[in-house]
Amino acid sequence: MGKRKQRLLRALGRSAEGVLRGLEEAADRPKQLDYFIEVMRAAYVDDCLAERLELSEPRPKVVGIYCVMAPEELVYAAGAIPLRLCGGSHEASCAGDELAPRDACPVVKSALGSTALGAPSLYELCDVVVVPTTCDAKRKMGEELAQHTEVWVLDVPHVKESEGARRQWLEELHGFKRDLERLTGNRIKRRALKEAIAMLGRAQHQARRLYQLRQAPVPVVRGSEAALALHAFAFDRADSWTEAMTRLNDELEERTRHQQPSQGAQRPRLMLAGAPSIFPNWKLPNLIEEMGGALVTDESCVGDRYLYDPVGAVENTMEDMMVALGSRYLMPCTCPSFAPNDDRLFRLRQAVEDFQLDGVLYLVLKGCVIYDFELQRVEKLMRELGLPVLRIETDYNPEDVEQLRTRVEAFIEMIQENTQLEVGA
Amino acid sequence: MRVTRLRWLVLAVCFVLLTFGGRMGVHLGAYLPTFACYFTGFDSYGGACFLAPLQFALAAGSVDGLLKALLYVVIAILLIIPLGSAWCGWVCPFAFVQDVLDLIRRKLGLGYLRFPEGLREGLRPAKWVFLFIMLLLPLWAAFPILVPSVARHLNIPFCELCPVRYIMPMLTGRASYMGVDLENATTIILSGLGVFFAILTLVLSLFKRRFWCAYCPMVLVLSFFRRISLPKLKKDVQKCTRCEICYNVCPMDVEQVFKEREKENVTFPDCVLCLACIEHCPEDDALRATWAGKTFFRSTRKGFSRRRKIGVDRHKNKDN
Amino acid sequence: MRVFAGIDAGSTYLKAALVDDKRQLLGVKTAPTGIDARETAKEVLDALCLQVGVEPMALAAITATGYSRRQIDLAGDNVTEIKAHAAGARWALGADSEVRTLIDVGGQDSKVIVFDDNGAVKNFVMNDKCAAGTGRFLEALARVLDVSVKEIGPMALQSKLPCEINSMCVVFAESEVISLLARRHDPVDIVAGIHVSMAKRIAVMARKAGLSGEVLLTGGGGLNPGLVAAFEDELLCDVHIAEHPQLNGAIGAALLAGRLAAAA
Repeated sequence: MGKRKQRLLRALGRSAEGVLRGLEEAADRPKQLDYFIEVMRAAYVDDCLAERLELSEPRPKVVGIYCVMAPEELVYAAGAIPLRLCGGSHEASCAGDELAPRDACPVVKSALGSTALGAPSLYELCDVVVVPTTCDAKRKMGEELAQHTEVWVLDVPHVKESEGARRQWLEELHGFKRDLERLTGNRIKRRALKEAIAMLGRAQHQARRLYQLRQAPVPVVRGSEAALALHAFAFDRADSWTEAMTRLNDELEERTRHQQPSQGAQRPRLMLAGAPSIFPNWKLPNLIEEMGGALVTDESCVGDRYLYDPVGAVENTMEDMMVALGSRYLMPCTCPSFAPNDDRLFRLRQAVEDFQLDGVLYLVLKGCVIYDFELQRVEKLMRELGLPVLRIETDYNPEDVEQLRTRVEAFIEMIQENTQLEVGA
Repeated sequence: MRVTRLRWLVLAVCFVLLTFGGRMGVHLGAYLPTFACYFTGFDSYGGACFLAPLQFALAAGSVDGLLKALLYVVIAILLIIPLGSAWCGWVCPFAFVQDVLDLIRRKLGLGYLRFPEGLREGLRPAKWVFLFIMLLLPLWAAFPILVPSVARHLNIPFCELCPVRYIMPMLTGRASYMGVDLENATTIILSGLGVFFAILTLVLSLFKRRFWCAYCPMVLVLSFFRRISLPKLKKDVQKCTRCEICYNVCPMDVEQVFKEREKENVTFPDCVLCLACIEHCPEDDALRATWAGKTFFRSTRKGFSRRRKIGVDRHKNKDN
Repeated sequence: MRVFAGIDAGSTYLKAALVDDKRQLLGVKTAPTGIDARETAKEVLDALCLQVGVEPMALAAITATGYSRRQIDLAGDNVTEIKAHAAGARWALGADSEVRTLIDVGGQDSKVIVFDDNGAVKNFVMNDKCAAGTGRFLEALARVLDVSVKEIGPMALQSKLPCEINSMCVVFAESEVISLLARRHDPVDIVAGIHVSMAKRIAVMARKAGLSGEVLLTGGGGLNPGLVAAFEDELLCDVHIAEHPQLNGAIGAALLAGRLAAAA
């Protein structure tokens, strides 16, 4: 093991452990959360994901996936294991600094750093990585990753409306399927795909259950906890994750029944919108909760949006399942790499209603132009709905935490003052 | 009960009643706005399509005939108001035949064919052409001012072209209809086309869901009343995630339901109210069906999961 | 009579204010924050109590605000600058004021707070990344010109044609000023240019926050007539100055300590 890799492992392990400890310190955390903490610990701190996944001999192929457009159903149906690789480590992003332009976003830098140094080792575990062409940074990242590993580029159309784009996308998925078959040597059979869709369907069902539980007027789980549990899907087998998530949901349901709030019920209900907070970058979720906000939802592709949409196959013919997968992984996705992306505004409007939101924190990761572009539309929408929006531009560097703290605190104070006024008036 | 299963049941019962009901003493007459073919025979059908008698009445050319035609239209409208396009989705015997062929396709593990948008748009006028043939040519037959030798044979021009006239009578033992009428040039052309359409429909129904319905003039006639007929398909545009599932499950390839971003009423012209979209919509209340303004069926995520047997929670919430 | 104290521990100065339960300002005191904000706070508060004639132990409540608010351990509570400034402004202005925007130019940061008609905070924008648009910017450039910070305001007012200073960064602006001096520009015009540049920078923030109504200028910047004039030209609206511009936050904190703020 190279010295640089060892150093990076140590450094990112430390900051990941810090986040996990923080979650463990909350005495009132759901008991069933510990499973997800252990998944993340295995991935980032103990660096033993391969052992945890119990990859039997002969070792199944492991497929690394970026973004949320590559159907994991196909990976499972081919007998391979998918891992989600989008990076959230400050230390890895520093290692990736020299591999990407200065203005590239930290997600890309972190992924490049982790791949180049092979830390955490789960990046080395992947036999191949799939890079959907979402934003410019991800697309170019795919090119750079190819220096270190085998890369499959999945061409995602950026205009969902046109039928031609959707047909091309379906073709692309057929290509993905053929590539997987070649990689694993297994033909993807109808039955296997049907079972994979059902398996992920169960995971999606549980994710949706959590989503609905979090809409309760009294929050029964912290946003930082829920986000971690959802995020753990990236590094776990779908069926084990679903079991753990079922247990967590059962516990939360129990709490809802007994009205056991996880934090004060009076806290302003906030959404963390914009760019995703990827583990271990727990900067904003932690700040929001430390400063007295209740983080009830996000629109992150490693959080509430990760497993929200189900696959709607009906006929279970191969073609029908492929069409259903194509729809699921393209159409309802509200990533701002799509244009026009009015769908996102509809989703946000619905979230404001479902979660009875009081305010929106809008994360712009430095270099993520597309989320920043859509900020204006989101602000306009929220003005219409009477909700304040706080834009926070930052990266994974912890140096600005204190400045951000003041802004987040003032934002939450502002909401509290205003709601008090409303009650008083 | 799953809506699809209920619909299969209703379709099958209607198929039997309308096609063979005559033999069991059911006589609803030839007034129905649905493709229960008139040519299955008076002795067999329990109720039949009003388009054949309508054409006969028009072709009669008398005041009496026109009044009769008007009567057929009025009765049809009265029947359309309460059921709307559900006649196509839930009653039509030929829909049942197509759905059976579609079922065979599924059992064979074959995917369905979806025509590209361009082709779909190009073929859209077909049902208008059929409608004009149905309404205008019998009048020409009634008043043969030009080329009377041709006009004479245009009493029921649409039925001559209609694939259903060739297929359904076969089911009641009138296989002789399936053939080209060699009497003269006009009948050869009309019945030749008809036989061609019939074979095309039978074959393509094995590959494309509800192949014929896309060109059926009855779907068009019913769509004229979609605003005033009582059943409607409604959408909450805010709740919709545009996941496209409703489009994928739609046998009529109605794209507008998921694309619609403003209107609440999404009973589009091609909709046959089969309700598959509501059944498979994963968002609570995004789609619902109403009758005279009252909701009788709505989409739920729970239902979506239950139908796929993925939403079996270990302990049921006793409070709910 | 119950007396409440507010401490605004800023980066440059530490400000303290006492109010009574009738919302009357009893006294204020300012001192450089120094290295140990905790000690300074104690000293300033003791001196202020002596000056006003209250027993420090008899203070009903103390609230801290400002950059070092968490270090002030003698305060029972702390609030963000945004909240404290909003409370201070409401107190300073009274009910029929047309002011809906507060601009605070402090030593280390500057902020814009927009209120609605009820005085509730509608939006705010803070500059917290670098010294551009803060008191430090003025201080550093005054030093280059060898003028004291007190003098630059009145000096700027004399200029007919302010120079253009384009750099936002203090370090680059310094070299820009030096080169302007080398090209024999009148220091008066340069000073005026510095003020315009700063007003422009903050005006961007103000517009982003949703500038409305008239403006109240607080913080050290409120003592600078040159900056007030530059703001008026840039924002095209009346810019008012609080009676104690630097003490707005401390007064607000004192009012919040006594839960007297919302009564405005």
